[in-house]
Amino acid sequence: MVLTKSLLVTVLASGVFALIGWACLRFGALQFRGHPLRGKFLAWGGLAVVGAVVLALSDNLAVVLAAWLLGGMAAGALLRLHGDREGAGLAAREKFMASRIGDLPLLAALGLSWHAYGTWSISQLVERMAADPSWVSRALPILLVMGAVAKSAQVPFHSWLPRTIEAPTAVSALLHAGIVNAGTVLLLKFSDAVVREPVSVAILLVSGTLSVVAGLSASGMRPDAKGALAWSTVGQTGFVLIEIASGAVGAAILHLAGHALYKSWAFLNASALPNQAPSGEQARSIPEVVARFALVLGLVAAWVWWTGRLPGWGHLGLWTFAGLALAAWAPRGVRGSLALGGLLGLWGIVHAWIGRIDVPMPSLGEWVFLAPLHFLPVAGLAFVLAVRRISRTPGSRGRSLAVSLASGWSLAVPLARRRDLRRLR
Amino acid sequence: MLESRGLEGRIEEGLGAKSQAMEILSACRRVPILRDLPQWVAVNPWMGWSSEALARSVGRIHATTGAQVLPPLAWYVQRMAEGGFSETHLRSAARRRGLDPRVVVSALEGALGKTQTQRRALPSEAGGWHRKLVDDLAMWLARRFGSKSDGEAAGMFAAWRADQEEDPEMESSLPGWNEWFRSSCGETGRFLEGSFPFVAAEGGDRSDAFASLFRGVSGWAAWLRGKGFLAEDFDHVRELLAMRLAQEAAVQDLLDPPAVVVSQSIEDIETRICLQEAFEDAWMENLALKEPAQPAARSGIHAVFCIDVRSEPFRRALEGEDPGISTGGFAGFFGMPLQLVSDGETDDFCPALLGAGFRGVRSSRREAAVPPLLGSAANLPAVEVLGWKVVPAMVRSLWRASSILPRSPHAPRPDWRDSHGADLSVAAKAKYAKGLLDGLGERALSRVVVLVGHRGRSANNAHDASLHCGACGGHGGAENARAAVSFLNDPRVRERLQELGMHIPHDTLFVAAEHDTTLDVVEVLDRHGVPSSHGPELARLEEAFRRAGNLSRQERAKGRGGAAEETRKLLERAASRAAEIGEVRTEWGLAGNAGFLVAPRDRSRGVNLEGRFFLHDYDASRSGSERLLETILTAPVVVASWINLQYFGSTVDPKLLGAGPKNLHNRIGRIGVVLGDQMDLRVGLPEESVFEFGGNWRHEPLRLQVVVEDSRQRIDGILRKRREIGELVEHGWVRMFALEGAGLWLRTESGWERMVRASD
Repeated sequence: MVLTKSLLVTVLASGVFALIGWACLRFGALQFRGHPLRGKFLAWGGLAVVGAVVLALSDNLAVVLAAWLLGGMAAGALLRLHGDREGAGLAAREKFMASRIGDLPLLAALGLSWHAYGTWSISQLVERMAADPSWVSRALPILLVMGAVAKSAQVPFHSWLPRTIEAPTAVSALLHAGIVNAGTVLLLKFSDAVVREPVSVAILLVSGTLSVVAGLSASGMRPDAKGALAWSTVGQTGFVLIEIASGAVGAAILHLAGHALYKSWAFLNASALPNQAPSGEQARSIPEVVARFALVLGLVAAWVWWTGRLPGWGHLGLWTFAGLALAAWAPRGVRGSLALGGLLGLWGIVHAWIGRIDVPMPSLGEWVFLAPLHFLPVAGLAFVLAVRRISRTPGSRGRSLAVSLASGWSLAVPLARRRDLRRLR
Repeated sequence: MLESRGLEGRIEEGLGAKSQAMEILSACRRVPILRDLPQWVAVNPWMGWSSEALARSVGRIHATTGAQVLPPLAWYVQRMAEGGFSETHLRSAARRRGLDPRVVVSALEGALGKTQTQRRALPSEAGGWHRKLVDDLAMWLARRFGSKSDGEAAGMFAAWRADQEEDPEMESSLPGWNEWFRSSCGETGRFLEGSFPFVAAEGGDRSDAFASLFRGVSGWAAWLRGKGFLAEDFDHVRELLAMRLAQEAAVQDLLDPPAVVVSQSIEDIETRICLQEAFEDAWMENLALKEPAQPAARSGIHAVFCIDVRSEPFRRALEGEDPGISTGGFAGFFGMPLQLVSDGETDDFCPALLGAGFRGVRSSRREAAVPPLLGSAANLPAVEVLGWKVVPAMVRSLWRASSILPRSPHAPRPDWRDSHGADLSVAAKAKYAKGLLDGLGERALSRVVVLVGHRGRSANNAHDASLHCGACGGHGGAENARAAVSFLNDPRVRERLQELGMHIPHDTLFVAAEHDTTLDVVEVLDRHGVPSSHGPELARLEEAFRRAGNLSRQERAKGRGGAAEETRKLLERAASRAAEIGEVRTEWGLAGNAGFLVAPRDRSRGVNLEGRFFLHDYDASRSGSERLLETILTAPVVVASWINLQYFGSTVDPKLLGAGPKNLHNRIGRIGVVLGDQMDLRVGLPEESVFEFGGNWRHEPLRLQVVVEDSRQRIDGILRKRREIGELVEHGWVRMFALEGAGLWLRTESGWERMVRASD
C-alpha cells in the first residue's frame, strides 16, 4: 500500500478536525444564540480548532508544541465557561494539572532534540534517530510517550475527562474529538521511533490497557448519555495507544479519526439519544463467546498460513483483542454472524493493508519482555468481561464489583486538592 | 454511642409513631409528579400545596423546598413603570385583600424589608456533607432506574441499604458508614417508625420538615411519585424519604455535628400577592369580548381544535380567511383515552389525570440513531470502521438544515382493544363518541367536521413532548383524532348513538387533521379515505388551512420582531429551524398562556387574544350543560392550570423549578435530564422555553384567569362540590370569573366582585 503514514496523518487528521470543529462551532453558535457566553465560546472554540489543525499539519516539533499549548489553553477556557458550577471548575483545574505534568517531558524532548540533532523537523528527527545508536534516540521516544499519556487523559491522568460533562454540549464534542487526541497525533508523527523503543512500547501498552479497562468498565455503568460517552473516550484513546505500540499505525490514524467523528456527533446529538442499556454482550453465554472467539482465531491462523508470514507479536495481540471484543458482542442468529463477519472483515482489511510497521525485535531479552506484554490488552479485556458478568450476580461480591466497575477501578492520581475531591464524586 | 441509638432505641423513643406516619405521608403528598421524557406533560409544581391559601403556602414552600413562588418585587416595580398596571389597580387590589393601599404603594419605593425565617439545619448541612449525600443518592437512583425506566421500585430501600454496607467510597469519606448500615439501620417500615430528633417540629407539625429532606433529590422524588400517581400510591416516595432519613441519621450518629441554624430571607409575600392581583386585573381589562349572539345556522365546515393556546391564532386566521368555516375548542385528545403499544413500550395518549381506556398495537417505532455499541467492548475495534458513518450527516450539518417538510399523513389504523384484550365493542365506541359529541354540541355537526390534533416539531430535543399535546399525554394528537374519526364515521356506532338519543346527520363526515404548531401547517390525515361526495368541501378546507397558515406565520414573525417576509420563505425558515440539531427555540410552546375562556365561540370570534387563551366551547343554555361545565372545570381547566403554573414556576425560579439550560442537559435514557454530572432529575421547562435570547422573561407569569359564561350560583355550586377545582380557586392558584351578559365577576375569598375598569 502506497499510502504513506505522514500523508494519512496530515490529510485525515486535519480534514477531520476541521470538519468536526466547524460542525461543533456552528452547533454552539446556534445553541448559544443570544447567550452571554456565545462570544467566549466562539473565540476559544475557534482557537482550539486552529490549534488542532495546525498540530496535525505541522512537521515542526516546536510549532506542534506551541499549537498544543494554545489548544490546551483554549480547552481550559472552554471548560471554565460554566465556571460557577463546581464540577466544571474542578475539571478545568485537573485538566490544567495534567497538562502541566505532560509539559515537562515534552519540553525536555524539545531541548534534547535541538541539542542532539540540531533540528525540530519531525521527519528529519525520525530519520536521525533511526540512524543514531546513542541514548538520545532511546530517551526521546520515552519522553514523548510520557507527555502524550499525561495530555491525552490516559491512566493515571484521566480524572478530568469524565468531568467534562459539566461543560456545554458543544465544548464536550470539541474536547472529546480534538484536544484529547493531541497526544496521540504527536505519537503518530513519531511512530517509527516510538515502536522501536521497547520501554516506550511498554509504557504505551500498560497505560493503554489500564485506560481501556477503566474506560470500558465505567462507561458501561453510566446511566447518563454524556457520562457514558465521556468515559468511553478514555478507553478509545487507550486503544489507539495500544495500536500504536503494536505498529498498527495506519489503523490507529483511522481509529483516531473515526472515533473523533463518532464521538463528537454523539455528543452533539446527546439530547436525542435514548441511552440504551449499555453493553450488548450481556446475553452471551460463555461457550458461545469461546466458540466465536476460536473461530476468529482460526481465521487469523488461516490468514497467516495463506500469506506465509508471521505478522509480529504486536499485531497478533491486537487481532486477538479485536476478535474477543467482537465475539463477546455479536448478536445471535444469521444477522449476528453477518455483523460479526462484516466488522471483522472490514477491520482486518484496515489492519492488514494500511500503514503497518512490522517491528523487528532487537534482542532476546527485549523479546521475552515484549511478547507477553502485547497480550496484556487481551488480558485486560477478558478481565472486564468476566467482572461484568460476576457483578450482575446477586450478593455482596457482585455489588462491590459493580462499585469498582463504576469508578473505573479508581486508577486516577488525584490532580486537585483532596478537599475539593471529597465533596464531589 | 452506636448501640444506644440503634434500631431498638429508635423505636422506644418513637412515641406517637402513628402521627409520625401521618406526617411522613403528608410530606410525600407535597411532592409533585414528573413523567418520563416521551410522555412529559406540564404539571403544577405546587400541586401538593394547593390545600392551603397562597399567602401562607408561599412562605412554607420557600422554607421547605427553597423555591420561590412569586416574582421578585423589582419585577413588579418594573412592570408598573412600563405601564403594565397603574396605582389605581394597586389600590383596588389592596382593598380586596384587606391591606392598607398606602403601605403597598410605599413598598414599591423600597421601604419594605425582607422577612427573615430560621430553621434548624440537617445534620449533613451542619457537617458540610449535604451535597455529597444527595449526589450519591441521586447517582444510585440513576443507576437503578437509568437503563430501564420501569426498573423495580419495590425493595428500593433494602437494595440501597445493602449497597451502603459495602460502599468503599462513602466509607472513605465518612468512616463507620458501612458499619452503621450493617448494625443500626432497619427495614423501611420499621426504620420509619424510629425517632428522628434532628427533624424539627414547626408549630407541632413535622411534615414540612420531613418534606425538606427531599431537597437535592426533589427531581427523583417527583419521578417516583409519578409512578404511583393515579393509584394514589406513595410507597416509592416514602422509600426515598427513608433513604434520606437514614443518611441523615448516619451522619448524626457518626459525626454528631453541632446544632446549626440556617436563616433565609424572603420578600414580603402579602405585598407581592397584591401586586400580582393588580397586574392581573389590568391585564383582564384588555379582554374585550363580543356581545352574546344568537346561534348561527349550521355552517358547511366545522373545525374542532385543541384548547391549547396555540390554536387561537390559527382559528382566528382560519375564520378570517373563510367566513363559511366555523371553529370549536375541545381538549385535544377528543375524549379518546387511548394507549399504543410498540416495541414493548406502552404510551398513554391521554391526560395525566386519566387512565387509558383502550389500547392498540402499532408497528415498530424507531427512535433517533443510537450508538449501538456504546459501553460494549466491541465499540473499541468497531469505531475504526463504523465511526465514519456519521460523515454525511455531519457534512450536511455544516449548512442550514434542509427545509423539506416531513410528512406522515398515512398510518395504518390499529385495531382497538379494551382492557381485557377483546375487540373494542360498538357500545364502548359509542360511549366515547357520545362524550365528544356532548362537548361539541349539535351545532357543530356540519357536513364536514374536522378534528384537528396538534404536535410540535424539533430535533435533538429531550423536551420535545413539551411542545406536543398535553391532553394526549405529551404526544402528537393525530392518533386520537384518527380514533375519534373512525368511531364517529362508523355506521354501527351512529346507529347506537341514535338509540342514545344523539342524531348525527347522514351527510356529516368526520375528518382527522394535524396542526403542526412549529410550522403553522394543518394537514388533513388519511385524505384518500374521504368519499368524493365531500371532495369540494375538503378542497375548500385545505385551501383555507393553507392561507390561514400563511397568516399565522406572518403574525408570528411580527411577534419575533422580524420584518414581514415572503410567506414561502417563512415556512422554509421554520422548517429548517425545526430540523436543526443545535436549535433550542423552534417555537415558544405555550409561553404567554394566561387565560381560559369557557364560552361559545361567538363571544371571542374575531377578537385577537394573542395566543394567550385556552378556548373551550360551552353553551350554558343547552340541556345538560351543568354536568358539562363540571367536567370542563375539573378536567381541562385543572390541566390548563397545571400548564399555567408550570410555566409560572419555571419562569420565576428557573434554578429549582426549571430544567436548566439545554447546553448542559445530560439525558438519562427515557427518564429525564440532569445537568452535567449532578444526577438529580430536572423538573419543569428548559430555560430556553421561557426566556428570550437575551435572558428576559418570555413568559409573563400570570395565574390562569378562567372566564366562564354562566351564572355565579352555578359556578359556586361546582366549586363547592368539586374540591379539585374549588381549592385552586379558593386558595388563589387560579382566578375564576363569571361572565353574565356584559358583566364580569371575579370570585374572591369573600364572594363575587364586579370588575370595573380602572378608567371608568
